[in-house]
Amino acid sequence: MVGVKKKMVTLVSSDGVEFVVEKRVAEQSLFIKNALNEGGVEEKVMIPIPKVTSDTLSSVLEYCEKHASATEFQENEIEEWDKEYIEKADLDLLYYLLQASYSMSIMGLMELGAKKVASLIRGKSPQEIRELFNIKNDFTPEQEEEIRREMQWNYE
Amino acid sequence: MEIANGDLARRFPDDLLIDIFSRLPAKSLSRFRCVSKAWSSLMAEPYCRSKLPPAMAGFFFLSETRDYGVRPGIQQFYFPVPDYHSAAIDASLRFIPSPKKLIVLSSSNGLLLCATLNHSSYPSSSSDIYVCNPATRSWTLIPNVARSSHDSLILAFDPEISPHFTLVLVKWRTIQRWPIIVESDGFELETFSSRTNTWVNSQVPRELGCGIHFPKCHVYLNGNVHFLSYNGIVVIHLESKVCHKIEMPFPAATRNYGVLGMSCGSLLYAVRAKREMQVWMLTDYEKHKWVMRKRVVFEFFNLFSRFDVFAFHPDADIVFLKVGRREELVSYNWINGRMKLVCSLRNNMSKLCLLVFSSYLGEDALEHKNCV
Repeated sequence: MVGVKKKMVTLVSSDGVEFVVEKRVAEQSLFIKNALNEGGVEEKVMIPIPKVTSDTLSSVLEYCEKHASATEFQENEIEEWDKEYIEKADLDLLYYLLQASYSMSIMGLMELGAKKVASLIRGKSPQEIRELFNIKNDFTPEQEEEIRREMQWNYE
Repeated sequence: MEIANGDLARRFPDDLLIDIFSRLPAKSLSRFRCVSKAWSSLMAEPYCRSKLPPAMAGFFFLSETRDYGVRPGIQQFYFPVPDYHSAAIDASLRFIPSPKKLIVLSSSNGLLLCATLNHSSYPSSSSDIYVCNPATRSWTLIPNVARSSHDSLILAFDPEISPHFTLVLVKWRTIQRWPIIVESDGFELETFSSRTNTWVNSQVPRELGCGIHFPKCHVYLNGNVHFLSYNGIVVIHLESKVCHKIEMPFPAATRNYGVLGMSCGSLLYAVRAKREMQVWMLTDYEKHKWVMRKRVVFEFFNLFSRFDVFAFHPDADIVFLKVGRREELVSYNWINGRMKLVCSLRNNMSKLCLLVFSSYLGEDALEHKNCV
């Protein structure tokens, strides 16, 4: 069996699903890498990933797997893969991926997600942003106007 | 999965939200302060502010040496806006691997267009042309620039529309010397898009644009590049390459060396006549209808301390004026009338132009990225 020699770890999502993955894949997350180093335990490691559901974790691990073997690919191949990967995530998944990458400290994924969100919202009006993210406008029209004015004095 | 009562601003950690904000153009950011109280107060925090690009990071100032005994040539200075931590911007442009000195020709929403100085102290037809982002230290070399020394090269980039940029090469017919004003009976147009990486030639009606200022200021607005010519504002629609002209608010207005700018999606024109300054706004783009928004006489500037209108602020009702014999640059808010000293410029220099620079840290189409 191929897997015998490989070191495996088990990640447990917030809804209790276990994911058995290679250590080098899991270590794409600095959070897990640190946890493994601190623990010092080599075998049968179980790491709970709080706040990350199984759906999200499975998508996160897809990213980690690709990037753990990044050296096997050309640089632009990875770039293309990243592009496709983040493109197919809908807004909800994108949101959960960003949160997961933040709490699991996966810098590459966080950057990828942040870029995607930035590209979704640049050029939009405040109202479009509110609709996109379901944000309630808690300003009165007067307050909103005041902010608009205020922003102009920044240079003075 | 559904973000049930998902307020992104509340549920995202602040760091993550700041990271997203930092990738947005300054223009979007100032608008987004109106989204909600949570976003507004986050953006007002000093930590967040230090991470976000300001509407204006500083300006590049080009001048021509006039000292006796010194070979005439272009010199370039960068003045950062005081409260922005300017270390974030590499205005020296040394991250571009060119052994030659670089001069900024055009600035557009965070990107710069630069030319190398070869044998002479002016950009020439053999200059290499680069587009770069001094905030992310990324750059790209533009191929096959068929430019003669007096042609005008304009950069158009709006990250709110696309990460791609366009170069507009205005090739003047009959011309005397760069960068002095000369008569010309028209121009040909070439455009370069970072999307296709090629130059495209376009025909331009002859009656457009006769004679030109060194296009020290141009405005990229609604997909159009605008610049001043002797007899009006030349407008180039980048998608279709169709050109037309907008008449000035009053005849011969351009001869007074006005500047173009924009505010809230409208084109602005500021012009000086003796001690008076007028700010005009193009309120009806289709019908070329101008409205005078401000008329102010600076009584305290006398004959010996004249002033010049230099540039508009990219995101506020502010113009920059060069004032007096001591060559000071002041900001003047033409809504509330407040005036403030920005900096002192160098003496013994003839001022060529002032290029307002806004930093941008988001996505762009530059080829060579540098990890900062």
